[in-house]
Amino acid sequence: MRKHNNSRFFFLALIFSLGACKNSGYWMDRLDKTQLSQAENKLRFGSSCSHFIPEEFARSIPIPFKIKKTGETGFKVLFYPIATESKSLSMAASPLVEGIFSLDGSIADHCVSTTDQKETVLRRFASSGISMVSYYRGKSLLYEDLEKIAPLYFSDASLNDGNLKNVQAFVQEFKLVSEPDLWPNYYHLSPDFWNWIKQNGQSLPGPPPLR
Amino acid sequence: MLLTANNIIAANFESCQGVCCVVSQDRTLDKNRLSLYTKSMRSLTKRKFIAGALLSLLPYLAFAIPDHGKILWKFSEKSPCVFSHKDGTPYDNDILVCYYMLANLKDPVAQFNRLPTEASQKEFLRMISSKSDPAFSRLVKKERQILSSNDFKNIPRDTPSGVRLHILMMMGQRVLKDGKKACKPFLWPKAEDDSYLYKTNGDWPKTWLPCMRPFYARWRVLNQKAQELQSKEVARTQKKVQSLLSKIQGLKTGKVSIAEDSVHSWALSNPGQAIESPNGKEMPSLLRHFVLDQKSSLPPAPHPLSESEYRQRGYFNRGYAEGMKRLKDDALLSLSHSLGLSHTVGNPQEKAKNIIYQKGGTCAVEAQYEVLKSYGQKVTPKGLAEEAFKKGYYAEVQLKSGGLIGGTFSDKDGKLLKDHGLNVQVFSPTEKPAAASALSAELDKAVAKNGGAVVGVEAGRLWNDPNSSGGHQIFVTGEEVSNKDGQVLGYYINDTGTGEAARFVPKKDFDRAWRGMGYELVVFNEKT
Repeated sequence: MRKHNNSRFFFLALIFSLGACKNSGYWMDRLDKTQLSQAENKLRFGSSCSHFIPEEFARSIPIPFKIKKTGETGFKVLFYPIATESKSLSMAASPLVEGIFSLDGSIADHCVSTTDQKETVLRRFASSGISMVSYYRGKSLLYEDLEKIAPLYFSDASLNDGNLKNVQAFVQEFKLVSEPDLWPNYYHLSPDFWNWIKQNGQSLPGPPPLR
Repeated sequence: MLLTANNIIAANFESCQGVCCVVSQDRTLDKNRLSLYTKSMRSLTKRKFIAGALLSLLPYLAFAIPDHGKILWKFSEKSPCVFSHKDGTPYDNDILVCYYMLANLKDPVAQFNRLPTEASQKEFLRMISSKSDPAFSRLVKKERQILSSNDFKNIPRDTPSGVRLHILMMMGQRVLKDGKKACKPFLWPKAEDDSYLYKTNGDWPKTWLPCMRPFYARWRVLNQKAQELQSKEVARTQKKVQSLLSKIQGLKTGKVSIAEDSVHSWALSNPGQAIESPNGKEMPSLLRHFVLDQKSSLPPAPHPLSESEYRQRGYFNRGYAEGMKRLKDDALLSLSHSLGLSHTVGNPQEKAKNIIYQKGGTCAVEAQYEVLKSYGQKVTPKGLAEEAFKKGYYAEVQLKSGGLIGGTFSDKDGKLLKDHGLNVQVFSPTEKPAAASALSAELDKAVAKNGGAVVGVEAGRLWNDPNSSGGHQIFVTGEEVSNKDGQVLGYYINDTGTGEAARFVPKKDFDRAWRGMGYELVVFNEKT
C-alpha cells in the first residue's frame, strides 16, 4: 500500500516538475498575450499618458473598478518611480500617476497625476527572493484570473465553485507578485472591489490604508 | 604632540589637507588602526587626567601660560577644521571633535567664534568633547564588530565559487553601509545623493575618510578577493576557448585529420559549448563543409582579448550565475565565428570602451552619451546630464525621506543627439504587436548602416531580476548574424544600468525585454 502511494506521489511530482520546466520567457509571452496586458500597454504608450510618465517608472497590477451611478467599468493602474539610494540598492517611491482604461472601450484611456499624495518611500516592491520564473508565472496567471473575475465583479454575478476558485487563485497570485508596500494604495484604487473579494471569502492582508 | 585619536586618524588621511598637514605623517600608524584606537582612548583618558591636574594647578601656573588671545575657527570648505589664536599661533583641536560639531550643531563656526573669551571657547570644546568621546568609543566598538563579521577569512574554504563570490559582494556592501552608519556622528558634510547634478557627483566627501578609512580598506580587500575569483573563472573559460579554437585552427589548416564522427563526438564531449551553439544540431555537416571548403579567413570573434577588456565588460556585475552565463555565451560566439557559422555586424568591442555606470535615472541620457562618444564627440556623463536637466529632457527630484527619483520623458527621446548634430529618427513606443517585425527590421538596418541604435527595454526582463521593474534605455552596439540564412541571432548591448559592455543578448530574450517597452527605438546617423 505504501509502495503504491509512493509511486503515485512520484508520478504527481514528475507531472509538476515537468510543468515547472517552462522558463520565464514562456510566461512572459503568455502574459503579453493577455487582453489586459495589451490594454495596459495601449494606455502606457498611448498619446494620453506617455507624456505623463517618464521611461523609468514601473507599473502596478491593474485593479477593476466600477462607478455604480453611471455603470461605467474599467481598470486602474498605478505608475511609480524607482528611487536610487546607492549603486546597489533601489527602492520604489509612492505612485505619482494613476492610469484608467477599459477593455471594451467604454472609458477613454487617461492618466491623472497623484502628486498631492503624501510622499512615501516604499522599500519593498516585489516578494523577496522570488525567482524570475515564479514571478512571471504568477503574474501571467494573475492577469488571466483577473480577466475571468473582473466581469463577475462588474455584473455582481453570484459565484459558483469554479469562479470562487478563480477568486482564491487571484488573491494568492496577487500576494505573490504585487508590491507589499503598495497594498494600501491598491486598496484605495477600488475599495468596492476589495470588499467584493472579502465577501467571497478572501482578503488582502497587510498594513492599514495610508490615505 | 599628544597621541590623540584624532591626530592618528588625521595622519592616516590620504590626501593631506588643512589641519591634517599640521599633524606628523606617521605611515606606520596605518598598520594597526584598531590597536591604535585603543591606545588613543587610553591616551585620551590619560590626557583628561593631566588636564584635570593642570586645571587644579591653574591659579598657580597662570603666570607660566602664554596668552595668545581668543581662538578663531578659520572655516573653509577645503580645510574646515583650522583653529588659530588671534596672534596667528595654531591651536591644536581634535579633528573628530571638529567634525562632530559640524555634523551635529547648527552653525557651529559662528557659535564658536561668537564666544567672548578663550576660556569660554575652551569650555565649549570641552563640553563637546564630553559628548563626542562616548560617540567615539561607540564607534571603536562597532568598528571592531563590523570588521570582524565582514572578514573573508570567515568564509569556509570549501565554499563553491558562486556562493563565495556572492558572500564577498554582500560583505563588501555591508561593510560600507554599516561603516557609514557607525561613523554617522562624525560624518560631515552630509552625503549627497548619487546624481550628476550635485556638487560632489554623489561621491563621498573627503572629510569622511578619517572615519571611513578602515571600512573602505576592508571593502577594497573584499573587492580584490572578488576580482581574483572572477579573473580565475575568466582565465578558465579563456583557456577552454583557446584550446577549442586551436583545435578548430588545426582542422582549418589540415594539421589535424578528424573524421566526421569523431568531430561529432568531440563536439559532444565539450558540453555547454558545442552542443548549445546557435546551430548546434547541424554542426557536424557544417564542420565538414568548413574543413573541406575553407578558403578565406573569418572575421575575429567579439570575445575580449585581455584581462582589462574582460573587466571593462563587467561580466559579473549582475552576480556569479549571470557572469558565468555571459562567459559561456561569449565562448559559444567565438566558436561560432571560428566555425564560420555566424559573424558580427557593428563594432561592439570598440564601443565597449565607452561604458559607464549611470547615476540616478539617467539611462536615456547616458545611452546618448555613449552614442556621442562613439562619434568622437567630447562629452562627459555629468555635462550631458546637466544639459538634459537644464533643457527639461531629464527630471530629478530628491525625496524628503531620502533617495532620489529621476527619469527622461518618452517624448524627449533622442533630443540630446539632435542637439549635438546627429540626424535622429524616433520610433515612439507602441502597443501594436504588428509593429514588432517592422521595428525589428529598422533596428537591424540601423545597426548594419550606422553601427548601433538606442532602444527602450523593460529592465527586469533584461536583467533577469523580478525586483527591477520599470523602463530602461540601452545602446545596441552590434548584432550577431547567421551565415547560413542571415537571421539575427542576438544583439550586443552596452548597459549603463549594470555597467556591462558588449553583452550578448539572444534575440528571443532581447525581443521580450524590448516588447516590455513597446519596441521603443531611436535611430541616428551623422549629418552629411
